Amino acid sequence: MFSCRDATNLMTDEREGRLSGGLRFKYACHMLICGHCKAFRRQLVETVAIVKEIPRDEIPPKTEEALVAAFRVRSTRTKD
Amino acid sequence: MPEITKPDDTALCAQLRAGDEATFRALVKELHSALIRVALAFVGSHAAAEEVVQDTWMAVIAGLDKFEGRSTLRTWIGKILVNHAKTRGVRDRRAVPFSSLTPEDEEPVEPERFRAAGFWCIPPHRWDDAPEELVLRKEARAHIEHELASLPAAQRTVVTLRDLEGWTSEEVCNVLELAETNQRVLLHRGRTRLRAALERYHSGKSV
Repeated sequence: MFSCRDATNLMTDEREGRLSGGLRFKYACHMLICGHCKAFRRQLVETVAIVKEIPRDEIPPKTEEALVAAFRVRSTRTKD
Repeated sequence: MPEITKPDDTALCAQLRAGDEATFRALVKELHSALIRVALAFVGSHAAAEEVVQDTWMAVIAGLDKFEGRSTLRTWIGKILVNHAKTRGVRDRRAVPFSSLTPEDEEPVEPERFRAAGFWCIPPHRWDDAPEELVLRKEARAHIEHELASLPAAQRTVVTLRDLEGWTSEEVCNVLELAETNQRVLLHRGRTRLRAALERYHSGKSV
């Protein structure tokens, strides 16, 4: 029988559109009746939304300038 | 952060070949965070990751004419980075994070939360998922960020690229040389562990 463990294991596959017909049907039926799994899915979605808000590393200005300088050298060479 | 690597990398690449500095600068800024985090999967320190990223950009600059547009530009750059990072990792005698991948070694959700038949025994703790106050939202984010940093390298890198940097599964698979199924397993395990951290945070708050 299709269980809550099965449903939780398939939640990323489902979001990625990777569930085959039979499994998709069993999954959808389970999600219709299981409040706990629905809550779990909502929480996973919320988790991903929060991950998107994590600040990204900024490039140190010195590194940025050094790389742009190297790029400039390439461009001058190419033009010659 | 605007994504300048989309939608048309051919045009972008033409600008770079023509020596457009502003485009190059924007690209370096855009990809820095992702490249550092991928490098960190292979090398032991932030300083080593910074070096690997710089070496990568030097190789990109030298090899611009070799980009054929068969993948996205960031996939091409990512692959160059992984090569550099692997070499550096071997030199520093680090284990290769994606080689020990065995999909059966871990259940995404703690097994004790289910009864033998696989139905919830300890169901997910509910919390008010209405829009939270900014302060609480920041606190929750800090918990998730902390958990993300402590995930196994392969899970951490896949979740970072997919969910934080917004890369496609195809790009992640190409850059990290992962089969699509393995990439999805890593993504699911990582996300599930982050959800558990968020649950612990909310449970702690309500006690």
